[in-house]
Amino acid sequence: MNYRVSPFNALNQIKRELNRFFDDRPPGQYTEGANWSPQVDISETEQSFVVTADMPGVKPENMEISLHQGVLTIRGERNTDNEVTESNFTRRERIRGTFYRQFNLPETADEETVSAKSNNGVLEITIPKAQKAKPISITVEGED
Amino acid sequence: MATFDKLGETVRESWDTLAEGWQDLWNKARNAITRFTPASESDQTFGNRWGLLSAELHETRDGVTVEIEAPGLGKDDFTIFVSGQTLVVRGTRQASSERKEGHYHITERAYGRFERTFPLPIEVDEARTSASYRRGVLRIELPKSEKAQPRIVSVN
Repeated sequence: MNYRVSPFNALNQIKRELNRFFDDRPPGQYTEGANWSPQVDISETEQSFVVTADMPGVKPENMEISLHQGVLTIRGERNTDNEVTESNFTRRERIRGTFYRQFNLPETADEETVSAKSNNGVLEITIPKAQKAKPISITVEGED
Repeated sequence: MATFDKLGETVRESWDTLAEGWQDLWNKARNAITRFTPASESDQTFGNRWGLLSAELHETRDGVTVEIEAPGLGKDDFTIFVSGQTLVVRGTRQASSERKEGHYHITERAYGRFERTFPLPIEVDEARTSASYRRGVLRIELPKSEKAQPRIVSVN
């Protein structure tokens, strides 16, 4: 039997994934066991890929974006306003702490020229495509 | 048979974890799950219909502060009013202002019109209500109404 498709293995993986998702872990200690992950849109044009992520309440200095070997990683932390004590809340839905999200980029991404900006709680990362990936039209030379 | 017992146990454990996790998520998020209705032609076919508008409400000495996570809007995109002891927040996230040309691989973010109402724990002074918008978080300050202030009675 192939180990990779064993039912135990699959179920254990589901369990691990769920634990990872729902565990309340201390922030900062785990990379993948983050407290939340942002919702994103990813679009592609002829020139570039654009990743747009909702990050309400995250300071730009607390966002860390890295690109390494075709993997784009967005991570960071959303801090608590310490002025408020727990007992005063009558409603509390916002998630604090670390966030983490990773994407595999296609080979055509140009890692050298990635840029990012943040506005109104929305992070926009632009990843230009490498020169060789852009469509080039070739003129056919020949006799008339 | 030991294999089947082990399998059964793993399934049970996985199921318990799933049920517990779902309950936890539901308790945290059910109020924040908000319906977005298309606000324009381009919204019809674009983006998620349901979004999370996580909010927080806390009472201070002077009143109530409400914070709502609503990224990607402008300050003019909100309509805020108090009706009785209920706070109503309406807004529109325009897909047209943000949408890029090209082909979309993932669209998780919600666009369109939304509304959330919050029952307020105390009576507030609607006229002195103020709001600010920063880093995608809307913050509304609702001062206590005169009636809700403790009145000091002097003894003659």
